[in-house]
Amino acid sequence: MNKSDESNLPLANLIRIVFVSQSVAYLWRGVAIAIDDAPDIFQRVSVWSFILPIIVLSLLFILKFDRWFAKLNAEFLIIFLSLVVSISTTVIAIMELIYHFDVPEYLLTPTRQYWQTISIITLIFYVFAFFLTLYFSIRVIQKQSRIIEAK
Amino acid sequence: MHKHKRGFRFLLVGLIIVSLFLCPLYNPISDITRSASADGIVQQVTFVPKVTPFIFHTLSPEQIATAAYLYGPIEYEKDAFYSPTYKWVSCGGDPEYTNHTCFEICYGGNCYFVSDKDSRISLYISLVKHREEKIDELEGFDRDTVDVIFDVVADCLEGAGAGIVIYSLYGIAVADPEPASKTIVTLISALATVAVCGKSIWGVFSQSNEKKVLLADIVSSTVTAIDIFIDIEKYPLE
Repeated sequence: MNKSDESNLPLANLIRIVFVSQSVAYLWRGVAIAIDDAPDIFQRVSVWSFILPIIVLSLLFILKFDRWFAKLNAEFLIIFLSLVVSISTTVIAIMELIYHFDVPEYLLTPTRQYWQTISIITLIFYVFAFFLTLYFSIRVIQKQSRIIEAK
Repeated sequence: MHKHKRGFRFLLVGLIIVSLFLCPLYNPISDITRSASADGIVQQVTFVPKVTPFIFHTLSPEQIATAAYLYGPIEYEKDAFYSPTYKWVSCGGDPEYTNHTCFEICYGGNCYFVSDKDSRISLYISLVKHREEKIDELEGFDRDTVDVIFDVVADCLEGAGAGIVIYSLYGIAVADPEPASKTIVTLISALATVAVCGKSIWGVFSQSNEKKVLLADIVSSTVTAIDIFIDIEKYPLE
């Protein structure tokens, strides 16, 4: 690892965390829909919905795209996009939770109860992803300010 | 130790392949039918319907259910027990009901035998029908919403990905970018992502609003149907 790679490490970590956490949460939701449709698991979710995130993650780890993106010299943009994505998905998960719980008791079916449980777990996933993104974004900012101070 | 681990992995992969590809190929039912047809046996299922004859219990409207009557205010939204229902029944050959349709209407464990001689019945039945249609519609709508949310999350992730790609392409195309143009590209990438993710959030918000309209319709038709039921119960047609 050379010096430039080392200085970009916090940014590369942030990129990895965002890609992994968002992909895992997305895949989890895909699996939840597939289970809901069982035994015809690909009735509503295309098989590509599972393959694409796995391909993206594989590219990230095998071809080290995180390091490549980190070298783009776009800390602000990467932090901003990471936070926008994390906040948006968390807000969507909160809205989904409210959606599934806003139903009179007499309309509660096993499918609705299933989606209530899924929406709670999905929200936990996204909140966790958001806090991880926030933590790694702060680390990138701290590293940048240390570099500026040293200069 | 390493060898054991590898062996275990191979075994696991083997098991998955067998369960995924070989198990669906074996269908015991098709084997039975195949062997039966090979023996020249004609497979036939004889269906003997068991019909319970309608027993004419009471004249309208007298309580025919055994559940205890619920005094006092009824909470509409407790559970399925409080859902107003109707069932078409035979009028029992009574000349009084010639040219009329008879129903058994139920709510809160109480059921009554009624006919469309009473004008309130048609309204009650149309409301219950409407309610059931809307409940079915809501079920389909909920299913669609789950798919919509899955898609909009994908859109938001793709939006962010597109933002990074735009910036990367710019970085590749322009080797030594000027600060001003770099800022513009950064802003374009950022704004594009915000727009896509904002649209995603708006999509979920619209679905929630549409659900609220459907729910309001269901609740209003339920409440009106229950009011009519209670009215029929209190003031039966003489």
